[in-house]
Amino acid sequence: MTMDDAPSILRTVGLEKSYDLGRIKVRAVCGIDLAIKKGEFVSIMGPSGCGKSTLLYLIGGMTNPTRGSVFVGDTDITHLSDSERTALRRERIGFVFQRFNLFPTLSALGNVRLAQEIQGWKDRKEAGEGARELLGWVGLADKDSRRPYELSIGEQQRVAIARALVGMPEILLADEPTGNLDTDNSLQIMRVFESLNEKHSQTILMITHNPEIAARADRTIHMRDGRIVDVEGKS
Amino acid sequence: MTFNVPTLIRANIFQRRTRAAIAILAVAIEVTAVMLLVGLTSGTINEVSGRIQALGADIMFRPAGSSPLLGLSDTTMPTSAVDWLLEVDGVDSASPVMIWTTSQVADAPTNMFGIDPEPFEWVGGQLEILDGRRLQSGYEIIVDRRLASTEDLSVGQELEILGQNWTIVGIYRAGIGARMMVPLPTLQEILGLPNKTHVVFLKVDSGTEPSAVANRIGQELPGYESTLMAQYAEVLRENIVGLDQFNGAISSIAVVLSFLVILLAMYTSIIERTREIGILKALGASKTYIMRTIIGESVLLCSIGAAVGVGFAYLARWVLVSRYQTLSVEFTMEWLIYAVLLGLAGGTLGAFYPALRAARQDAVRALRHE
Ligand SMILES: Nc1ncnc2c1ncn2[C@@H]1O[C@H](COP(=O)(O)OP(=O)(O)OP(=O)(O)O)[C@@H](O)[C@H]1O
Ligand SMILES: [Mg+2]
Repeated sequence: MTMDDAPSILRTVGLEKSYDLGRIKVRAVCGIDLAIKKGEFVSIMGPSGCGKSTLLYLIGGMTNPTRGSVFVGDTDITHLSDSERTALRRERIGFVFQRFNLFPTLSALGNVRLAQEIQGWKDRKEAGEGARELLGWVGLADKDSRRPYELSIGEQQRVAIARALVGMPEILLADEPTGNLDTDNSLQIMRVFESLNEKHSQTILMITHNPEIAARADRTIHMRDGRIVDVEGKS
Repeated sequence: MTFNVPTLIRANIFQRRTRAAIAILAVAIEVTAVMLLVGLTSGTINEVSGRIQALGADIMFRPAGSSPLLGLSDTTMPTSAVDWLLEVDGVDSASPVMIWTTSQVADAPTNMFGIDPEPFEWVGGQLEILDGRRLQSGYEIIVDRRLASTEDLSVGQELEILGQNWTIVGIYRAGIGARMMVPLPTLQEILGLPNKTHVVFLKVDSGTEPSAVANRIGQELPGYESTLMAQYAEVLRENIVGLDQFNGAISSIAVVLSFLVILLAMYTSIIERTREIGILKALGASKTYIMRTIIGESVLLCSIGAAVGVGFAYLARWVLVSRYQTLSVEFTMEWLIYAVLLGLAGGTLGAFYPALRAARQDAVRALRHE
């Protein structure tokens, strides 16, 4: 499959984020131009503190850039109001973090249903079925009533992925989803991502410190000091 | 519960039981305190005024400046007032009553009436004797059924009051005037106030407006006050100086305390859940959703607290009334609703600031918090 002609689902233009700490100015992200097409699986690598998470937060509209733009589809999200960006995130973007993703007071199913509730799902039956189906995809159909502390870290991450997939977001953003996992569990997560990407053309942007994991993506972006220094892989 | 009751609210209450229990208890205590306080004061006022009203008299006549709350003032007037009053157009009968308050019989101060049995009945004071006989003269006393049963008194027994021994000659049905009655001349003599009385109860001619008679008395006998018995409860309430202010102050303190407890509970809870708020924002939860979750949790806690508080209040009333049988605690639906609303208001307001803070929390900072 070739994606060369497909339009970008995600694009950043001259993206910059700096933190003003009085005398010093931290330039977490400086001048990032990036285009990701629908159905692409992209990994981001780079040393600690190089601005990977900041980039992901900017793309997800969790924080405003100091300069530059983020386009989701045709929408420049930096021109949206806070509540419009929240709505965009709710409808079009899914997030998975490195750890403590889940609400400890809720079961696996409860965590997924919370996301449905936030998205305004009303039909109880439909919601329950949808949530179970998502947990089935990540291989946790039989553990839906467990609470986070009754699940392994790998299982918790899979619940977080299931939750991020509620409403089938156009873009899945993952910040070191395998960062706390051993090889077996990391591979399991990767298989979930790969199958989502292949079977459902899910666009995925994933941060990782592990070169083997990164290499499984279509493309790997290398960052240093807030900039993209290299791009490996197809396209 | 349905899917529409936000998932997190339920989970937070059930999973953080101690915090929930403390918040519930604080609101419950507030509601109980307000209900009991108001119930006790209005119960007492209504019971006292009900007993006086049950005399059946139309007007209470007393020296100006004396308290309508019987037993509170020493101001007396000559018993000859009875004769002047009987001259007034429209007055049918008049009964002088002296009041003495004693703590020698029951735990709580109890009023004793000195009466002239005949005119007392003429103005309406139908003392239904259940055991023994009516009052005649000398050191005789009659007590009402309620006092007799709480203090275990029976006919023939002697009571020491004012340094004298009184013989119980009768027990009458409770609810009229005072719980104990003695002959007026005997009480006057012991108190060293011959031919004096504290109040005179009046009955007007049938078909005559008591207020018209009261006005005439006011014109003919200045320096005295006539209280219409139909308005006695209100007059009592107005005369207990600071009662409403006292109730208001105690209620406000209760509300402020529950407000602070809820504020602290919700505030610590949002600090503890900072990262959860970050995740909520990442999931696309709006500010409204976050505020609704936090305020909703508090409202639910407060509702449970209010319900528990109402239960506590009824329980406390039962304990109080069975322990102190002469005590009256009266709950009205109006005050019950008021107490519950106060509890809910404190809770909602207490949760508002934490909810606002959580909603305004910077998403990225919340996510970096661990
Ligand atoms: N609120 C803030 N105030 C000041 N500096 C910040 C703030 N948040 C992040 N930074 C700085 O921005 C830079 C980029 O941080 P970021 O978290 O994006 O790095 P990262 O690449 O994700 O690192 P890691 O691999 O350790 O997660 C770092 O130097 C960090 O110290
Ligand atoms: Mg990071």
